[in-house]
Amino acid sequence: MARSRAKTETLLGCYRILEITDEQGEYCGKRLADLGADVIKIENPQGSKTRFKGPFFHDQVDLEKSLNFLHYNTNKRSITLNLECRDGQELFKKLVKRADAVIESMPVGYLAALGLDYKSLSAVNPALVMTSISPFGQTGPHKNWEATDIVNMAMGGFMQSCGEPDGMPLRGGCEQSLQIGSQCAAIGTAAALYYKSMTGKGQYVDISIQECVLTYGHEQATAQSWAFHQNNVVRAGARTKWAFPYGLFPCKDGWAIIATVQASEWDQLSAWIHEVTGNAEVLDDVFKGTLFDRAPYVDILTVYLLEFSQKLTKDEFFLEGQKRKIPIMPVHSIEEAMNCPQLTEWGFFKNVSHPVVGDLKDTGNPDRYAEGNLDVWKAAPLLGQHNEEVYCSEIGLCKDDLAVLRSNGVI
Amino acid sequence: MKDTILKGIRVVELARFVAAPMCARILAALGAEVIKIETSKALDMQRLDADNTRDGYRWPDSAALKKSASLNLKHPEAIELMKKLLQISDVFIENMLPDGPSKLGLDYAEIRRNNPKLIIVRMPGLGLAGPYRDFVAYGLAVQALGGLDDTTGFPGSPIGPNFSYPDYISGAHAALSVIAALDYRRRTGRGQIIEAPLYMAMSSLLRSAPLEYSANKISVKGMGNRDRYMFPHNAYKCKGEDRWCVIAVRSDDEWKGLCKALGNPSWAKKPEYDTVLGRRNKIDEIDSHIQEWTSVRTAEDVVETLQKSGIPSGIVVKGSDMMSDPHLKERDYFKITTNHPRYGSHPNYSVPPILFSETPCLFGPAPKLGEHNDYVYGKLLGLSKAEIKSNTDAGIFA
Repeated sequence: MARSRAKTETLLGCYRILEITDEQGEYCGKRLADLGADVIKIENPQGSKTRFKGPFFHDQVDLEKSLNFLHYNTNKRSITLNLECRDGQELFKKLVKRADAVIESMPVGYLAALGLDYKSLSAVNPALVMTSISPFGQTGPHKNWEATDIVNMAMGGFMQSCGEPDGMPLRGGCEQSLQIGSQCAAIGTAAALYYKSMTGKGQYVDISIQECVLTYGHEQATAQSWAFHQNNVVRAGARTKWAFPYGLFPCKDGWAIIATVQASEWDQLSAWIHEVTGNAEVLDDVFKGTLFDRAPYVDILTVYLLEFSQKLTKDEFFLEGQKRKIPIMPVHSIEEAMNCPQLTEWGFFKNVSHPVVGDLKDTGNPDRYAEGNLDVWKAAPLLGQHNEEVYCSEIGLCKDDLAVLRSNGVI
Repeated sequence: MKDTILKGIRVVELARFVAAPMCARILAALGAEVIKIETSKALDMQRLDADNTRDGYRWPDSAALKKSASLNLKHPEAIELMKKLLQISDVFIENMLPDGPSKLGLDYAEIRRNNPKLIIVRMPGLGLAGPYRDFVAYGLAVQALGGLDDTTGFPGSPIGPNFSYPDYISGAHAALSVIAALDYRRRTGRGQIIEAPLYMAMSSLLRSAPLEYSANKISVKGMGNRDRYMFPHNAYKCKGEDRWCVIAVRSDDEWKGLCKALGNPSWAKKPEYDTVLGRRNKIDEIDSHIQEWTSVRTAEDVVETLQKSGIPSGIVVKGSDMMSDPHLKERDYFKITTNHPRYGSHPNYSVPPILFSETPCLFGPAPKLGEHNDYVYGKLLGLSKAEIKSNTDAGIFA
């Protein structure tokens, strides 16, 4: 099963992973593929439903032009396969025999109804790792509940604390829940594959996106706050009340965020406020110390800070603040983030060359390895681009078989 | 007892705050032996309670299963012990600024020569290279720099999650990096250095927004709880104080289902609402009708009713909801710490929330500062009881 497709060894290059996912699981496959795994995306013959999700390249609605799809499917291969017919199921089992893992994010029970659940597949390949990603997990009273990102963010506790105190709870930007669910799934899959390589044993991995959101938000101690004090966390707005200064402040041309944690950072900041505004009260000893020490004085300090922050642009605030060792950062728009010199010079972006949409700049791996990086970064595959490669060269069908399968709607 | 995945892997963590300890915390749950090197001179804030005193109830979320060795690295002897420990370890995780290790006297070339199988994970805030490499960075600020805040909230008033969200992303990304590097080492016998900055971790979770900017020159902005493709899609006020639910309608069929669940009210009978473009044009009006319905019902009622009809919906949950949720209870999501010195028995989150059928994640107590000094310095590094005592007296183990 393990094979070496690439000439040079990559981090996860020894693994073949089959993916049956929608937007809930595609990022899991992407993480593993971007680390070198051979991820084969199994799409129904009409195309994965994420190919139909916007935004689209130049707003042209086309199977190959969903920017959503192009982002989430880098470095994968694509084959088409109709899992709802007998031929499709048999072919899938052949693929499973030669694979190390299956990742899926279909509705709970869907694969079982087709005879393609972990139990059936592990009978074909006992060392198989299978990872399921779903909004609420595979067990429990809510397992069949319907969800989208906003439901996950609400049920995961994220929204309760995000927003203004007198406003509605807010969902985060960029569908975070779908990405962090997949991130946990990628950890689980890679860890189970490592274990399989060490012991020969496969296993099943169950990921609940709700639980992932809960865990990522545990810093708020929402559960403990209730368990001990019968207190529920409330929305604190863009600036918190429990620590100071900690949050967003308006500048001449936008917003900046200040997160002073250490006592020395406040000493620097208060001296700077004094320099710019002439306000000497800000230097008072009573305000010195950690961010918690200043919490009782939030109201008056907020007045001082607002007077100060609006005298500067967000970049002056950021660059001069950092020179003074104060953790200040600008609120970047996506445009500013894409043009940020730090990301560019670090080498974060990848130029992806796609046969239909051409060359586009996208985000790359968040981490860099001294060894084992992918040497070629491939764009998302075209629909069924690797049918012949996989079905003929790798599982031994002949081209005539493909024509029959195609004509019968199997591939 | 069931097997664990990272049995026999020793991880040394030299880090404070959230991201790097989170990475090590995940590895500990997978069965690695994690040794946290810490000092009372600069305590990990994760230890602290909300009132800024020691031993907070969040500590197990960050440090469960870890072993704590106290070591003040300002002493040259401490650095020598650190190097010895790294010679017998598999993974080293730190979150210093780029020049931090060399300032301390940790020369990674030398450390790797002495242990070529070691995997070193460096987690600087903004990266080891580039114009901002030496900037001070915390999670809360990095989510603004990374573009998350501007895509959250309403147009013109960005807002972010009210916690260090990027730290959690970054810790999890780095845990995946470690597992991938261990797998690579399994095949090649080679350790390596990984760089996993907080900033890049955050910037990698913007889904198609970067591509949309490069392709269409559109900079996605926050739009409250509305969605670009689903109508209606929002948070709605329910009965009770600060009670909310969310509803998302993905198709015309779901719209019909929603109307039926609402009892086919007369306001919903407009033909223009039957199409998604029609609903998009009248979204404010539709939202206010839906809120009229939700505002006289409990969030629980709304969600039970809508989920029965297959409409994506959920309660904006609070701590009280989480602690009484039968679903989370059945899945055993909250882990109970017993014998906490201040709080006794209390709930903790599952870290990581991954259910393995054969190698379940571990959970256990979090260490007191220096609780494992005898194990680390005596058993692992071979110091005698007298040497441990003299190092303790000299303030090296402090």
